[in-house]
Amino acid sequence: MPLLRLSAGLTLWAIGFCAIYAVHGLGCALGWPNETVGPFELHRASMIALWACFTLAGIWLALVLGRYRGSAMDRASMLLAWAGAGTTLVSGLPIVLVPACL
Amino acid sequence: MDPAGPSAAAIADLWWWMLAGSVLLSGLVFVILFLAFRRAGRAERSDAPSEKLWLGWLGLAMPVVVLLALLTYALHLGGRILPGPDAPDLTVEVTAYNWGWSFRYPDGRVSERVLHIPADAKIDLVISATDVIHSFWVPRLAGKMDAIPGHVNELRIEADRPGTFAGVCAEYCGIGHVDHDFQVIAHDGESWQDFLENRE
Amino acid sequence: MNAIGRHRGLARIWAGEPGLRGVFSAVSHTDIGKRFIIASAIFFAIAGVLAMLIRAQLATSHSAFVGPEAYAQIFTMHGSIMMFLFAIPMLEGVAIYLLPKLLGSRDLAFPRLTALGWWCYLFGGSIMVGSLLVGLAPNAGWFLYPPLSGPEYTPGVNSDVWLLGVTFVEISAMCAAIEIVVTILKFRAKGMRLDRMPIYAWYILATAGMMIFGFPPLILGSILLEIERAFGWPFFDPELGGSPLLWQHLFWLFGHPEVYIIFLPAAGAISTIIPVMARTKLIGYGAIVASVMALAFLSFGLWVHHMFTTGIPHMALGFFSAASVLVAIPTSIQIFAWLGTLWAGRPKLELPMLYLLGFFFVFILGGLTGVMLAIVPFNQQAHDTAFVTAHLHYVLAGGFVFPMLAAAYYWMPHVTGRLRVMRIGEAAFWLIFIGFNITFFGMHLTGLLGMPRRVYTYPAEAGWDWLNLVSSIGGFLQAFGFALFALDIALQAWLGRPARRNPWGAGTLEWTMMTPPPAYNFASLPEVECREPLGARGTLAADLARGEGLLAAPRNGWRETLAVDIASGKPDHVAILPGPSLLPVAAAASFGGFFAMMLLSLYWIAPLFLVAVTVVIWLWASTNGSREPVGPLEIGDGTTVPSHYEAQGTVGYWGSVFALCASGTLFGSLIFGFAYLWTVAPHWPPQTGLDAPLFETGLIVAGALAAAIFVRLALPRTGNGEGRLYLAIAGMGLTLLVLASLPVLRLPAPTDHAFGAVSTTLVAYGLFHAMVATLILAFMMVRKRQGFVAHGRPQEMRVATLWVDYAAGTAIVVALVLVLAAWGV
Repeated sequence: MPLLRLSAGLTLWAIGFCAIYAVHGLGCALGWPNETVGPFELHRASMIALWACFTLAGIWLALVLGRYRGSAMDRASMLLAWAGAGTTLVSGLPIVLVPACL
Repeated sequence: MDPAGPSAAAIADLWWWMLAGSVLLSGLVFVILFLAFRRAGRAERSDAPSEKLWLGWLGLAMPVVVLLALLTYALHLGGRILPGPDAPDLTVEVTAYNWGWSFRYPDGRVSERVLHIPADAKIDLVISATDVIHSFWVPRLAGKMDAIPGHVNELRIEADRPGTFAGVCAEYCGIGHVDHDFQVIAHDGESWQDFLENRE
Repeated sequence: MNAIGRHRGLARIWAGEPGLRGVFSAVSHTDIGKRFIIASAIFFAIAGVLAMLIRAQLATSHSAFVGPEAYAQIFTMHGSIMMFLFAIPMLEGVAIYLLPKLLGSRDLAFPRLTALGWWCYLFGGSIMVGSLLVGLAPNAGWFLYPPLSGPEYTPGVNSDVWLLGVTFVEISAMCAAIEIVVTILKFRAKGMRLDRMPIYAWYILATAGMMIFGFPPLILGSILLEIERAFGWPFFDPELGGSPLLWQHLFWLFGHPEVYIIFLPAAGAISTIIPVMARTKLIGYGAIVASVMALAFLSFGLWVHHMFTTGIPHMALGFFSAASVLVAIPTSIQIFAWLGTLWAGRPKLELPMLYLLGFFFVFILGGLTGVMLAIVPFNQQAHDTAFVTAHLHYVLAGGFVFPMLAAAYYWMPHVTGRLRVMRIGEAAFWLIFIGFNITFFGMHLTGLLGMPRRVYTYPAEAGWDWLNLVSSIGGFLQAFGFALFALDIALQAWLGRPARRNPWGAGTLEWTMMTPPPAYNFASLPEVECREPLGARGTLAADLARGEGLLAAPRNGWRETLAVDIASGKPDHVAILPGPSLLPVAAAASFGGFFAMMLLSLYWIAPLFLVAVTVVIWLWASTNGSREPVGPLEIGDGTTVPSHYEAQGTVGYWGSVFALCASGTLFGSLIFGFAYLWTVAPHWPPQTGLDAPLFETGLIVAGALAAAIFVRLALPRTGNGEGRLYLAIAGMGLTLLVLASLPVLRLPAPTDHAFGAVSTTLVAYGLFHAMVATLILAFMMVRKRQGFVAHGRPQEMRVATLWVDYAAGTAIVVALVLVLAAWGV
């Protein structure tokens, strides 16, 4: 179904974006920043893990969709999957640039 | 646009940079438009437009570069003007209500509609409201922060010189919204001591 | 049959009813589309007059024109009317008018739903404007933030007018959105694959999809706030575990996509008009489709940028700031595609093009200030100042009004079949363009100098007088421009010389029909092999009129059009559309009665009108279907396809799918609200907890599963199945009763704490869908007995299955959420 392929990349971004935002909000509300897992801050580490997973999943999806090469729709699906992966990467930047709960 | 504090000054710098960038980019678009219509009058052309040039370079690559640079800088700046982690020199509780502002100092004193602060010091404001949503804004010192019933927000301000600065409520709060203003008086060392001892 | 005979036959079949009755029973997309466009233009004029009042008041620092209360109503209504009664209905009207003509169809997928949307819009809009006349208009800003808009600080009816009026209009928008998506997916010309659709269809598909997912949060927010105002359930009251910020999240979850919902259809018009004006083809079709889809998705990740000053942690602001910055990229791709198209072609400065140049200038500036506002520190300084007023007018006027003016001049020869009279349009352009920039350019500066929004006066010593005076003068210039534009359009409609067909030399299908268009659009339906069928085959118009296309012969007095396979555009079945009907206006009037009773606080009478709505919808559904087998139908290319009575994947099925998507979004927003209050609002956890309703949950799950299983077994291919249908009803009925018992026996009182309020609302939502599903099953029972549902005609049962599955699923989710919540408290 071409419309689903077209939507796949950015749907993945949307899910990742919501997941990271939810973990951030819950973490701040429950006081996770003060807890650590080994050498890592629990809160930031879990967000980084999600961020990395969704970015990698986005790249994988883009590579998979890149294998269909028929119509203009296939090309657009691939572009959108790359756009989704790129957006996931960029919109997660604050995780490493900004203090978590201030 | 006459900043009197580090936070407002940093934002003013940011604004001038963004303005310069915007002038360049809009200039580029308008020149292309102008030339497109001038070209139209000339002999017919058969060259197919290059999607790579128009969409790839101009449409995609150029904004990606510009926007990423801007975003990184802004996130960094935004983090810097937050309250903390370094401790403030003074913390004042701000309560907004229809239609006034009260400021409670650490020693328990309360002032109405006038916020006294020492100049050249980091002040953390702990902002809330009792009835509807208001917003604390002193344009020359810092960005604004909403005063929301049931929530407590923090804002750091700093005046880098003594003086009186006008503040307003920036969120519509009912028919008294226009007059819902206040003043911030930044004292120099001596008059701040007077304020502390005078118990006005 | 010759062309004249075909015209007469089709015209008779597709004609509306005569006289006054015809006014109320009209379902034709051409008529309803024009009504939407004209009504929204009138609302634009009303909101424009309000804007003039604002500018008169602000012209100097000592105007005593209106007081703060009147001023609050004026600015609230200016924003609300422009957004809800002008922009959205205007884009819907244009889409309703154009889509079937661009796609090669004879009407939209649900003609009576189009009419329902129109009446809801008219009634809801009238309620809102009427309140202005009696001085009771909403006065808490177009965003209606509680607690200011809540029961304590707005005790009058003002906020109720907004909540009920806007929700009424949103019903209209949801009808239009579902209709548009299904039409684009199913009602296209033979051979029109997705990648051969006119680019405008892609834009509108994305827009309507966004409406389906973007409007439910606001509808939910409006329902919750209205319940708080009417019955005192504390969703937004921080004293009792609510939060004013929940409203802001729900509002902007709608409010930001809304901006792109307004921009995208206008951009679709630009992408359609520019290549014609440049006498070439649009470059980068695939890239534009991709960037439209990207905008549709990304715009849902920006809502918090309206809340940068509400004290949300900076990292979260960062996520949304990043997304807000990135959304500029797909916009930039489109702008350079348009520039590249102009560069490659031989652009002519016709009047629509002139307005598009106005668009380029205004929108580029608005877009750049938009990027500035996406930057958190700058936003915190500029938020709620005249800078934002300037920005949003540059974006919305640039991104919507100028393109719509261009579209008006571009398609007027199509709507009226006439050319324009004099060169008034140029004068109107310069007045609007210069007036607009004089009004709003200075506001950037006024805002940076610290002038807040929504003030009815300002101190003389602030030094903003001259800037405001200039803005006011510009505003009045603009007003003259718009008046001149209206005059020009009226003159063209009444006095214009007849236009020849396709005056601009366009390549899309809407120009293959007579102008003004006949009620049936196409005498025979085209087959397409490329994106610009008329450009590829100059004789297409005459060929279609001669009946060389599909479904050329009028048959049985049926309103026939072709439904295709979604991806490939291969003919799938013949859809036989309903004719004129009074049911839509009856349904809208019943809804209107409900909203009016709510507004008058007659809460015990209001439900009676919902019963009336149910009765009308029952009658409505009863008019569909066929008792007899119809068999395969010739479509005119030597092949046969089934009628929609005997096909799978009909528009009714897809319409239900998207209606349920919208409802699911509302449900999701409600669960988000629950989680949000739990983590963020003060006074949680609540004093009174909840014992986990495990026994009830067991019953709900059992009943829901039974309903879902037995409704499947009752599908016609597996025999008569009346007994199984009874079992399905019993299962759904059990679920319904147990859900209904929960608020009475288990849940804490909804007025004491937000916990009780939200959990009761959740149950009420589950209950609503269980009731709908039970009614649908009962309806199926009647239909089976009457012979509408039979072997070979299972469509209605398939649709019923969808609704039963959804009700079963939500009932189970509601029960599980309650169990989790009980353990959490």
